[in-house]
Amino acid sequence: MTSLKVLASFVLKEFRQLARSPEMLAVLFLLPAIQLLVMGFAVTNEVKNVDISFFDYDKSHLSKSLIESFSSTDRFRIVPVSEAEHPEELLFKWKSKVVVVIPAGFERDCHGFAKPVLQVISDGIDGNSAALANAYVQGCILRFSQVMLQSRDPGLMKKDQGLDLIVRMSFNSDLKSNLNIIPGIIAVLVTVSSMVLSAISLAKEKELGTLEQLLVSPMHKYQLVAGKLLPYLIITLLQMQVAVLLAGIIFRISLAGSYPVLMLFSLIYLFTTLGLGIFISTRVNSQQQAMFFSWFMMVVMILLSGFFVPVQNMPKVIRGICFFNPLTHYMTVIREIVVKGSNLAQLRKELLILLSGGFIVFGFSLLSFRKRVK
Amino acid sequence: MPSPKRITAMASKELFHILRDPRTLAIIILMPVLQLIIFGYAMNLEIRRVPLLIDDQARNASSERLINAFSHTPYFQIVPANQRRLEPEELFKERRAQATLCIPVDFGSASQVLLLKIDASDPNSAQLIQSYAQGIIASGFPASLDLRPFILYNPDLKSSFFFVPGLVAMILVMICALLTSISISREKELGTLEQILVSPVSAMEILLGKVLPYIFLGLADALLILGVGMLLFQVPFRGDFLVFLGFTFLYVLCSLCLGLLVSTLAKTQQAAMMMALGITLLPTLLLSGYLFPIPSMPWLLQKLTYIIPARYYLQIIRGIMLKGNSISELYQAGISLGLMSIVMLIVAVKRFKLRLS
Repeated sequence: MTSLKVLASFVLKEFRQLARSPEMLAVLFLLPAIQLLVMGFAVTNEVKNVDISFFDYDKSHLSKSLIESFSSTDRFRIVPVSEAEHPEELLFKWKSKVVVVIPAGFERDCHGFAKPVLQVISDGIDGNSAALANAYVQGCILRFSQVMLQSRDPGLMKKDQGLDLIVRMSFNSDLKSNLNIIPGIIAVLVTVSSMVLSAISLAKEKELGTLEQLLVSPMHKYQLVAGKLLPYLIITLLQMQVAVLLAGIIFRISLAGSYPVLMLFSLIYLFTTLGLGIFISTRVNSQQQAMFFSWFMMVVMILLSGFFVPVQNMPKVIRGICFFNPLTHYMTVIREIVVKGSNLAQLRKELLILLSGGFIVFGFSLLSFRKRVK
Repeated sequence: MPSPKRITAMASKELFHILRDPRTLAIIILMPVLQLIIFGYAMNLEIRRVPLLIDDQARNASSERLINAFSHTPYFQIVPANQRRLEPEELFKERRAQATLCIPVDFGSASQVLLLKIDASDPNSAQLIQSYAQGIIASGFPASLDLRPFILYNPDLKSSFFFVPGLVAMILVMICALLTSISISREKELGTLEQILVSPVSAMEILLGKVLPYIFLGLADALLILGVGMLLFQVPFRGDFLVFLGFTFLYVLCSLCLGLLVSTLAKTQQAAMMMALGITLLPTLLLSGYLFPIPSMPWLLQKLTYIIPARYYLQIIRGIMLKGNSISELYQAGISLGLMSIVMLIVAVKRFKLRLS
């Protein structure tokens, strides 16, 4: 038998094994789809429907139109308040996240020479959301005051404002957070599937003792490893097609760049993740341990990949660690290709890093697998 | 009548199981600490050092003053313009700049218009860049309004204040629901549950003995997280510790009922693992408000969050630790947790009995 035939029959065995358990098939294809859907909708950095309440001690025409200006966007949800309540109490009792106090005489100050004062009290426990919510509130109030100034004295506006800043948003003019998150989810899915599945599958053979049997069979070690990994390589690439398709149909995200380039990068990246899968399987004794181990790595890899938070916001030491995280680079690549349509030349640095990373990780894992087996 | 002796015997047997697998134990204890450190130090949405390319066509005093204003903030890092003029979009693709500011030739005299182009592939950063730039440009000019912001409970907007209580909720559900369900279904799969059932230990004693070690493990891990969080990141504890313990006990109970329910549904360890991940861990991670604000989610997902125990516990623990809430503000969340526990327990016991008979 030629070596290729041996390999093919081994791959066939893996697929048969998978096809025999319908639960596993469901896990392979349904779970990623559900994950993409739930995560696509739930994972967002956007801050919407912030509960805001107003204490209007001025009760003037102007103060009412200020409050009105907050009801026009879906960023805020106005919570009605009664006179008896106290601003800080509203936050303390979880009734509101932001309280704006409009003092008596607000309208008078706006039309007179005194500078009108507004107090904004916000609940800071979710630091990141609170920062964004605060920025929105301030933006809303500033826009309102500009409109107010302009309507009062069009001539004054020019002098007072001085500069006019025109802002253009490239690639994502509607600032949809989906466009950033969905490619990230696909990168995570690719990593999870290939790494966790290959680790668990090898650990299973080890736990059940069938790995020993395979090792004494007249099959080369490389055939064994290739036969074990090829199915997961194929499955992961298939899953990726499903995910890309779903992203297009449900979230209306189309690929701005070249599809073959994306596939090329994914293939290169899979060497790293499958290598990590082998590596995990050499260090564990049972499926449960394999799961906990790969899960542990996943969490660290995802958190330090720039998925939720851009790497450049992180402190220097952590940015150094992020550089050694393969998911960081794959995340960059997939986002660049999907959102901006970057080409291979613009991604040459990532190509080099992923290639050498895959080479090192895969090679090292193979060596440690051989050593363990002996 | 459950005898304490038999329960202790069951519990110490379970403890041996846990201790015999030190790797899993190490991961369970170390992972949250590592997560805490990453969250505390790295998860910061505040942008810094945005590479900004300024295309200064005016080259006069006012344009210089403007460039100075931009370069003297921590938010922007001025990228030197290249000989080869690139379109902003190309620059963004090369990732040499994240924003470009174009100062027109007649700036300072005739025109006062500036053009800021931002790479919006990360919409959040784009929005922040815009507001920083607007802030810098407006700072030289008198504001028309005196806006006085006050931020309560977390004036520095530190993300660790938010994540430390959240991690405690995660750990408790992970250990109490995930590990319990796996441990029960393992006994089932290996057939050892039958052996215990024919011994003179009652079903109640088995369950109590099985869950006790996990309760202690979970609470110890949670307290470790709290301690590390308070020491490393100065997270305050403003409320009453006894009230906190009382609510935490309720949440642990709820998580255990969930774990029990999963174990009655799953036949094998693998299935229990997958189900526990799908029913306990992922929803807690994604839909409880641990990381992502619930009000920002679509309507259907917002409704779904009502059946996730961690949602209520997160409000409780954040309320007690950060706001200094007491029972009167939190009793509703407590009632929800209690009701969920009762419903899950009834279903689980019914299914458990069905399996035995």
